[in-house]
Amino acid sequence: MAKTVPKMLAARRATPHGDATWLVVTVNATPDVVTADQRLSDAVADLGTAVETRLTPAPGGRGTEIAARVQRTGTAGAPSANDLRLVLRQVKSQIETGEVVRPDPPTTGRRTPGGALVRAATRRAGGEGRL
Amino acid sequence: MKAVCWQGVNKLSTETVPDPEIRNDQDVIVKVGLSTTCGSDLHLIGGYIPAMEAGDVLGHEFLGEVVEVGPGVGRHKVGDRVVVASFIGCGRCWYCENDLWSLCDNTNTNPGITSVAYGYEPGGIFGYSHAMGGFRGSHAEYIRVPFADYGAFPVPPEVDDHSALFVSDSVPTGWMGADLGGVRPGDVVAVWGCGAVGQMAARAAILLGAERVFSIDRIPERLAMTERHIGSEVIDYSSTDVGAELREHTGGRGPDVCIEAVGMEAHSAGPHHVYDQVKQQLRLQSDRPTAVREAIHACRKGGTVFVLGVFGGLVDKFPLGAVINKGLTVRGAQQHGQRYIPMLLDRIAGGEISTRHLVTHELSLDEGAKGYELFKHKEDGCVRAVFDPSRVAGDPRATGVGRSGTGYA
Repeated sequence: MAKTVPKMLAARRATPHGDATWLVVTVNATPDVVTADQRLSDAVADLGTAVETRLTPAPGGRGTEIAARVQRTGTAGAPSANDLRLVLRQVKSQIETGEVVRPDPPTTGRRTPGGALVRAATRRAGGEGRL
Repeated sequence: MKAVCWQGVNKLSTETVPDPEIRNDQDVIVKVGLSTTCGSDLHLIGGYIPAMEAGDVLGHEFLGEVVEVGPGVGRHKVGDRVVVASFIGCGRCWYCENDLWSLCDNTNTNPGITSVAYGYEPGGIFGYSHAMGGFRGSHAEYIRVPFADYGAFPVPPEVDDHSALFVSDSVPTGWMGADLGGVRPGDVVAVWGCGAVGQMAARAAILLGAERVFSIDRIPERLAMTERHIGSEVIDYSSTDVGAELREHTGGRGPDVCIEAVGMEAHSAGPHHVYDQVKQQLRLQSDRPTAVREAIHACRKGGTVFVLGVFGGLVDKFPLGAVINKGLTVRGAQQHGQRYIPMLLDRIAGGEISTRHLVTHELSLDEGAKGYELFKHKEDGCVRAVFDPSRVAGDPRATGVGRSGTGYA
């Protein structure tokens, strides 16, 4: 069991070729619109040189698939998968809607054990999950 | 401003909280006129959806007046009377463009929570926990409405506030159940639940041409209200065998479309209710699917079951064998309100849909906890407790047009 779990987690992170996983979002815009949008190139540039991206037309006229991955895992300063997901989601929202919607601030500073768990979850939730 | 806040499992209070502010260019601020309790709030209050923080403002079904407009808003101006869809849709992702608004890609600010739970995240909703975006709710004097050009709709002058209020959620949710359930002229439809959503689903089925519509509940006032204002036939499940009754009324076939409008805290008369209750309390299942099971069993071969009630997680003893072997279509969704709201306002203006009777109790924000007690326990004939921020506790004005006998269609 101790050996199996790390293997399973590694398998989830790896592509069939052993590379770092591509994280992908589909943007509801044509590839030429996405390519021309400065917000994508700026966001990728901000992530550093270790990030590789590719654009593919989505099937059925569903827009453009933006894929990104960290080329050299372990590189100093390379973004985490959480960072990468967050940026991909934000770029998608900016291209589609012109903004990234913000949640409302908490109404109170009162701390409860349950609230601490929720806050811990929401701190990471923008970049967690499946892409 | 005042707001009704969740403070812990089964603990509510009315607090003074900071006023909302424009946080995105496409926001508006709405001064809340009316905001209603909803059965799905009870799941939050009871802790069945464990993503609430003390101080979170409840409420997602409301209308009001635009008092502030962000620089990116094009379709609204200060002073507009608007009803707002409870789910927030950006209007431009693939899901919104395909009229699947509650699945919006861009409005859930915490996608990591529900994408782990469900595989992919649904859109954001007002006042419905941090798992659904972390937006403040409408049981308050003011509320911020993101992407207002897509989610806020002008209310025609001939539709009063008490009627328009339910176009925010209950009416489109009910309509969606009948529409996406595929109700066609000549169908027989059964609807589980005579709350606001169930009543609206039954009315939608009638308007879409169903030949007979049966509404199922156990609360006498709700059954009477449904018969009177909706025009469907009613079945009291506490005094009869629902399956046998439906078979008798459908020539032995079963209903063509079964709509479940009950949700995760379903009640039933049988021993399986105790079983579900115990498992839910022990957290061995998160939801009680009693009405869904019954709908699946009652539905005719090859028919459709639409799950409108809100479910949050996992259920036990789901009759998958019946689904497969009877060739059923099972669908479900949170409401795609933006798809239907203008049409529904027109139908209310034209007298085809009546909603005012649902307002059985009107209260002030200070009476938030009392309103939910009345609503949860269905006390005093409560169908919907509605908060009016302009009221004060003990307001001598009428407390609920649905009880006063005025405003009936």
